[in-house]
Amino acid sequence: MLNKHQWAEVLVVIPTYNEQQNIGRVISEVKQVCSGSDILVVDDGSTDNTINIAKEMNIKIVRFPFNLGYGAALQAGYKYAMHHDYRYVVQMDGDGQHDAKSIPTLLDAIKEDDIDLVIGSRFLFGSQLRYKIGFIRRLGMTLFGSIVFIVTRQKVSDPTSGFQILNRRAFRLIVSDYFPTDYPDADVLIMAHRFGLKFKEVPVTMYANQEQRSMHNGLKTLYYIFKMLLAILVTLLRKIPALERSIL
Amino acid sequence: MTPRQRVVITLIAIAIPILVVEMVRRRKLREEYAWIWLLAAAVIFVFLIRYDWLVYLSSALGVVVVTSTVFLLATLFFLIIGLEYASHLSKLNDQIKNLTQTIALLEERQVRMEIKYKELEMPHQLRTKGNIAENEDITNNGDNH
Repeated sequence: MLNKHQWAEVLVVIPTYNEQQNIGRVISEVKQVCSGSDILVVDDGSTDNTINIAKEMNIKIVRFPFNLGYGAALQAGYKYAMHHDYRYVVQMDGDGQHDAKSIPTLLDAIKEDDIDLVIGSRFLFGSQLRYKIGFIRRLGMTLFGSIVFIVTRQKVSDPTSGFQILNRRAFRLIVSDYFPTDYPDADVLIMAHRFGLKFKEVPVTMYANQEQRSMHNGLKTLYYIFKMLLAILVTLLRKIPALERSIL
Repeated sequence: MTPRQRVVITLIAIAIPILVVEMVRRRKLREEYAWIWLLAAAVIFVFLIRYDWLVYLSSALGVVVVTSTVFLLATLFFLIIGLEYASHLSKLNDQIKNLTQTIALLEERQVRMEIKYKELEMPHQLRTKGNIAENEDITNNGDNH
């Protein structure tokens, strides 16, 4: 059980875009679990009532004047954490997919073994997946998981999970220009590995999106797979200057 | 090349630089993007004057019909210009993203500072109001006496 002082080192970043149905519940749950930690909602130019709901909940809000995409919103959260000297950042979705009760598990894991990045996995033994994942999506996850394994020699069961915790060393990488802001997934893990960051997975609970919305639907899935393969290739080809490595 | 073709191409070669310069003058096109169009017009002009160079280029490339060389050059030109614009667009995208993030973070900071400022102002205002009330009491009491 963490005390209030330990929670104060943690910033929970929730990127949102038109999440008026879920954001209130998500914030309430995070507040219950992480009492003492700050919550930052990065509103990615929502056109619904999301921002007003968040304002009523007495949390920190960063608001984009227009939609820039999930990765850009996430990166802004990390920039905020960097400026305000937080030690850890928990990133979770604003659609209610990620169970806030799993946050302490992530936090415990990152404090162990000098780990820089902990991924909340919905497929590890002990995790709870409360919905069915489509065949193509699962295929994509297996493909990217295999590529991550070949490059890093580390088994990752859920390379597309957006439920993560990072320490300062890791979020220095996220705020850099190397961070891919359109679909930050498996390529970030490979990039983190190339920068010498250590990562591991822990089992978490994930639910289905209430409105069955996903970033990876329809034609977007094909674009996503293409983009991810290209991003991984480029990440592997990119030379990382020794100086930038030493910054981390 | 037939005389009619020559006239049409001459008109195109003259129209392009006029249009480009006018757009730059009206600030609808930046100088840095103008040069490539002017270069294209210059190339058209050169091949118009020295048609034999185009014939030589065609035979060097193994192209039988000279018109195909023109199409090949035009395709290459648009390919390069498209790539150049895509590169600029990517850079602009990154700059817009960074700017938007900075503005959003600064806005959050401003809101926080305003709240803090109001909190700091509050006791001062209360104190000032208290002093005014006290002074009024004293004045009133003085008047009563």
